[in-house]
Amino acid sequence: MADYRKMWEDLGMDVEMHDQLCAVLPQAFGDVYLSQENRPEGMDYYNMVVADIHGIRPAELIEHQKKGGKVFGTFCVYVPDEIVFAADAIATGLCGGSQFWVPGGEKVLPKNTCPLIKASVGARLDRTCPFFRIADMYVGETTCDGKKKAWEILGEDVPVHVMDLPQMKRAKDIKAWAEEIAEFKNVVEEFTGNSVTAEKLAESIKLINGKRKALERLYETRKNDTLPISGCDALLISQIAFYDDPGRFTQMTNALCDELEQRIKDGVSVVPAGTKRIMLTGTPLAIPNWKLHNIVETSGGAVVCEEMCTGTRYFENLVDETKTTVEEQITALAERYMNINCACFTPNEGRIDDILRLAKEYKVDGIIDVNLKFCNLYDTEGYLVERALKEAGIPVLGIETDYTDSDAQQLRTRVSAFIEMLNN
Amino acid sequence: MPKIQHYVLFPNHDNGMRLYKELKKLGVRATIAPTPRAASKCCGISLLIEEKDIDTIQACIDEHGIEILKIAAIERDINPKRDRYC
Amino acid sequence: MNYVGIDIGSTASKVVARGVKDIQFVLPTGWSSKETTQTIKEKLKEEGIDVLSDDTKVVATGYGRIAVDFADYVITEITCHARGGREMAGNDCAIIDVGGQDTKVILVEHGMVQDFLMNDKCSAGTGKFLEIMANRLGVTLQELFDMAAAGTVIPISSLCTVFAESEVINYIGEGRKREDIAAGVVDSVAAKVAQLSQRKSLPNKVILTGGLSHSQYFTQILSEKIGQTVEPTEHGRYAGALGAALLAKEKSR
Repeated sequence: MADYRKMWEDLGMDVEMHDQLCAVLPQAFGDVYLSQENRPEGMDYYNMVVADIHGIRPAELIEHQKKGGKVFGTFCVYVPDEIVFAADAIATGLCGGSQFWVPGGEKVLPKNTCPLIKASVGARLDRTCPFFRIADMYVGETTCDGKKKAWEILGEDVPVHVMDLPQMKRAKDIKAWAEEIAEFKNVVEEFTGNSVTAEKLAESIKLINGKRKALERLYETRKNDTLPISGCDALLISQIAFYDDPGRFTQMTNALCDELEQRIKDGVSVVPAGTKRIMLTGTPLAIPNWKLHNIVETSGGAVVCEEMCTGTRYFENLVDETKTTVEEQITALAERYMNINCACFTPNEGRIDDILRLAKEYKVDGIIDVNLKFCNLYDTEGYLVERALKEAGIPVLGIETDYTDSDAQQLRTRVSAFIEMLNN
Repeated sequence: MPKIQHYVLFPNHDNGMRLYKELKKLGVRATIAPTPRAASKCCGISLLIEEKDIDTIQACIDEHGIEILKIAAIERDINPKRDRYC
Repeated sequence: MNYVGIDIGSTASKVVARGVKDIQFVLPTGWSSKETTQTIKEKLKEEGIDVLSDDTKVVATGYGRIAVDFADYVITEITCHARGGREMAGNDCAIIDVGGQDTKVILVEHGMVQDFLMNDKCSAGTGKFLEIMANRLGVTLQELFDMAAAGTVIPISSLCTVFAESEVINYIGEGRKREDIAAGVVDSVAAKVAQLSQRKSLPNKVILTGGLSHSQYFTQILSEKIGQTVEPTEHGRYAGALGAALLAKEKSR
């Protein structure tokens, strides 16, 4: 299907280099996804999204722009999509999850920057991702030092608005985040020429809550002993949630959940009874980062939950839908978003409580604490997380990895040994 | 596992989705998949089908005037432990 | 019945058989795990053990475990080392394995793996580091240890093997005594291994396995760094293969 080539050229992309990425996707997708037995039929939708990952959705975004709409690119689960959609604009996640983009980022960033930031900067500067080309404005945030400085570099190439995320969770910090959201609203209004009214905002709060509920329903099915969906598949859905049309995504995910709930009734599981249930905690796994899930699930384990931005941090807690003025709605947004527990906060005991709670809810046998190389925040917090898990008697394996394939064999040894340990 | 896999290739996305929907109505299982590089250099979707269904699928394609490029037979190249990610 | 454990390490491949025949042997892995595997198969045949027979159960372990195409079971080196180490040190112990390309710390409680740690991709604190430094000094591994025992430590501060090699080259350039450099090299490896070990609280009984496991000198330095006794083991390099052979027996019950 070469009909996107022109679109990519019009976007100013380096089409030849981009083709190298297109070339490796089918094999990787086949190895991780088409190798699975007994996948739910509802996964076909997500297969389609990935198969045309740089075609269908980018074309829709361009269509939206042709009608005068704006597209905002975001990089963090703290950035409220509701504001963007309330201004008849579209928000799309831009986090890079492929090694393909890393060398481009390393041209300007220190090597000891996390691969997510390097890939994101590389995708923009090398002009090899349509989403990074399409977004009219990037929305950054002050979650870590690497990102803070990356915005300055990206800002020379594309308009960037940076939201100042507090680092503590006192009442005044939640208030400060509400002020940041109010300022973001002004920026979005000015940039789009549309005003964010209480009605519009109420609508978009419902829209995004709908997406959260669908994801929550999906994750709920993974709590069952009869596991109706693999971790690889659930991860793919979480990844797609960041950039798909929210209404359609919600509808398709709910349809999949119908099938999954039926599977539970029928006792259809994707793994044999007794397969060790693994939860991953830690740094996000941006698309197409499927390495760890694939390794766990081809080493005798099943991933049943991700305490990650691409996981529970994205959908847990809803925004209060009962507020009727913009001011109250913004407070409700701030309260919901400040409930997310990221390692960029101090102290961050809430995250440990979350992990212990999720471990119970999902009946996990063991936890893998994942750290993307050079993410100092999660790496440091890992000490506290692993200690708390030890105290709670939950086996934990700490792993540091990046986007390269080179550590796959070492990871397989560690993960297999961990599962052998759980099986004993 | 069969050694050979069959893929329906399309000139564009819309025809692929049309066939997928028609096959679903008929109860014929087709999996939406990225077009394998061995079959075509183009990006985009294809339908992974079972050999026993080829005649039914061909009939469905003819009946609804769906445009396809071809039904390709490709040696199965799927290895979940290859560890080559993208 | 014969129960065979094959541990294909990055440097050496170890084989232990238990059952009708009790044997053990080691050979260099060389560049091809597949070829080594074939050689092992033939050597076992000479000893009267046919790996393809129903009367023989094989467990493969080590980084080249996948290459052993006649294995009945494939088990990671962590589990195998723990099983072998348990045989050598009892049901409650810690096993420190300094291997050719990685270093592991395994905690065994009531005979089960309770926790483990491996070094990251980096080769500092592994046999590879010693090998590279011995090469640089133009001596064998054994000679390196003998020299080190007679020297006074010159600190090698780089954690990275590549940078540490540059440091060694500088010392050579400055005309420092080889014995002192060798002492520095061994000290640096022991420090890295100790650092990894200390991330876990170790039980009273700690043994060293792997290619350096018989070295009194190395265990003595390691004990000093960790602050508790690390015991050398005579056949410690066979710990993984022995564990694999024992697991072959237990698994086929």
